[in-house]
Amino acid sequence: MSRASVDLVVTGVGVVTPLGDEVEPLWRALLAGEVGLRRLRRFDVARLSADKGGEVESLSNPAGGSGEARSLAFTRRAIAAAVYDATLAQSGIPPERIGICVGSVMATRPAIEARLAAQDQWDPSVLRGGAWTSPAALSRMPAQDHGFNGPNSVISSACASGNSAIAFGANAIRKGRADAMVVAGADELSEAMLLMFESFRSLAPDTVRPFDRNRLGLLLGEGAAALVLEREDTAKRVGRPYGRVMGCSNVADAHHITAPHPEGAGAKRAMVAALRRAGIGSGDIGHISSHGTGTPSNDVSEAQAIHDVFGSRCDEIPISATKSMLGHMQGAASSIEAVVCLLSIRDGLVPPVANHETPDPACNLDVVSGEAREGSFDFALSNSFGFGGNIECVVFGPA
Amino acid sequence: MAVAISGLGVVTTFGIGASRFFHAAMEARGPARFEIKEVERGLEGRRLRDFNEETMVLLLAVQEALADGRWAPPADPASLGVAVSTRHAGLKEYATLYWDGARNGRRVKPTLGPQTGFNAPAAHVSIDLRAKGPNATFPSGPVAGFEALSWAIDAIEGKDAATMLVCGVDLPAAGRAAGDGGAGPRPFDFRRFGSVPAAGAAAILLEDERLLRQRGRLPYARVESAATAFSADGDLLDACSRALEDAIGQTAWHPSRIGSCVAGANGSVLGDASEAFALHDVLARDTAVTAIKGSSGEAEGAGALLQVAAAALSLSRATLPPTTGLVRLDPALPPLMAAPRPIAIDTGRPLLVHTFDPENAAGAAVLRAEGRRG
Repeated sequence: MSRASVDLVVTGVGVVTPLGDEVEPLWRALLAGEVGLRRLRRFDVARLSADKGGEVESLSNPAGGSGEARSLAFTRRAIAAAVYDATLAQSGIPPERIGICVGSVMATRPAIEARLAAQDQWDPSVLRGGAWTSPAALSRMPAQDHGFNGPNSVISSACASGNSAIAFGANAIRKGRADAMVVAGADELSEAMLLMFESFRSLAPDTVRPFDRNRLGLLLGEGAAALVLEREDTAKRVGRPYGRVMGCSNVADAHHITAPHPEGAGAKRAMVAALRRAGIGSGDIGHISSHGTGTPSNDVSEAQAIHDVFGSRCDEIPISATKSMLGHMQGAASSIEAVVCLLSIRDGLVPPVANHETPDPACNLDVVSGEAREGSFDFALSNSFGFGGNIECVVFGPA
Repeated sequence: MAVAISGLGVVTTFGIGASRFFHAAMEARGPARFEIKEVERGLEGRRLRDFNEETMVLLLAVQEALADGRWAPPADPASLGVAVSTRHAGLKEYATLYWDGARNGRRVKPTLGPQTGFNAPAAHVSIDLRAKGPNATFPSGPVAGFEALSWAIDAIEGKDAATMLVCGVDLPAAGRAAGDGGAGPRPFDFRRFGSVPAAGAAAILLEDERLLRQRGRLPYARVESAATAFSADGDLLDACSRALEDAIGQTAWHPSRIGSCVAGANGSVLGDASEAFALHDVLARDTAVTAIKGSSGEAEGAGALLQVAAAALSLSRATLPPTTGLVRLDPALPPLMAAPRPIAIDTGRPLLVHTFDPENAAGAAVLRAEGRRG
């Protein structure tokens, strides 16, 4: 929904991931194709066809024993890191002009699992009162941490939530409602979500292989990523911003509650609109960060949409799929993929897709495999799709 | 560009229909027990088993709004979008999935998982209507309706959609709710004791006013602005004041021009007080005030949009409903023109809608009657 009429730059980044919480080491790990998917330790995997996932191990007890949801702990940590990285305290921007928007699939809802686990019998009173009834905490508590009195919202568009938060924040600045927005995506691993994907038979038994002929599904992950967005004129204190948010597009597939449109019709519309709003053409994109879950249905429909938009350029646009290394971090996925897009433009490097060994001819994309790919490009496109047909695509540009 | 309300759909404890809701409010009836069976009857012929209860209630409200607005599917499905506010949608299904699957080792049905997300109602509305425009859910509760409204207005003004369904839905999570035998809410009253959770859904059909008039319809009201505010310092009064000032500031009017207000007071001790002081500080002394949550109860994610629906109907009928449950204004609050009886209003002046939540957030919108439908 955002227009590229006001230049927005990213001045700070913070991450909490299965491969660590420091941006540059994480980036090096992704460029090396390192995989952060390991045997799950916090869950009983006996009933699951997959025993792996991307657990955040850096915060061994992020909830601090206070009943705080892990997703909230991740969010606060990522936002704190991004705010520090952006030196927002030195920006001169008054706190009432700094806002926060967090995208999440489940917000604090998984915190109910510990309470239910302790019950001997079903008691519906568990549904009221508790961290699970306060999804707004994801954006409000970090705002309290930093004294930010600007726009404050939690947005949910399923697995596209991270990109939706970026779009929300960009729009808030362009509309003059804020001078800086901290935009984040966050979610935690939960037994309910593992069971849900198990019920769909969508979990990969071993590993995630986006766009590979032998792909069998996804693995879930958790964490958070936060970005600080500002107008370029307020960002001069920062030596070199990470990059720009050029354009965003939110559409609905309106097709099925879980399955994407088989020909990627909604994805195509979103990509085309994001390019238009960024003021660039399909010929300008140098990297596509795919949604790339590794499921049979997503990858082929996304590939079809990419072909429809980019045509013959599909032979030369490198495709990354971060979920092959971090798992599907749900609401955090597109936030961390935004970081990947920005760093790829900055460094002229596209990370490889882990475990991509046998390209699926039905996808027929230029998937980066084996090693990171060097190149020089100014613009990257991030695709994110969610259950229920939520789609949000974002175009990023150079600093 | 002007954005206008062209259709209203409401489901409350009084039943189905915006007029039924407004009529109950005009009769100063308090919230009652909610019966899902009436919703199921309203959706007869539909396959309901894949929907959680919030989705069912919302689909019915949407059905009402579309009929009320004489809306027909557009030639371009991407011109219709959906924005939903909620707090608890999918929570019961999430707990059920965990309880059955993880706690008791039972097989989880594939149809249950998708109902556990906040976005389930918005997704089903878009699938049902083939609405391929912008789609998002705001799960923060009472103020989220204004977040959804603001997002939808931006979508229309930015030409990302020509029509937006702005909806809110919530059913009480568990425990005490309206109709359980307890007292009803008492907004602004000196004996108020807290909010009373209640079920509700509201669907506001929002359109580019030019296109609405081109298809021969008149709006209920024009939406001039929408705003939200949050106080990281824990100062709800500050949040309420900023939301009011922002919403009014986006219009061409001085606060003294606001003729009436549908307030969000729900019987909470501190919340009502903060709102009352903010309204008193910002608005003129002759601004008529009503608090319809005395009738609707606290419907969380649906609350703000139920207020907007009531506001639109107030403008069309030139009357504010009474503040149900208000017997005597709390003398500790500043004087407000709120009363337990209907108040005639000057529809030539804009109407303000305002609400808050206990976590120090507030929202507001300004509506104006413009060649409206009666």
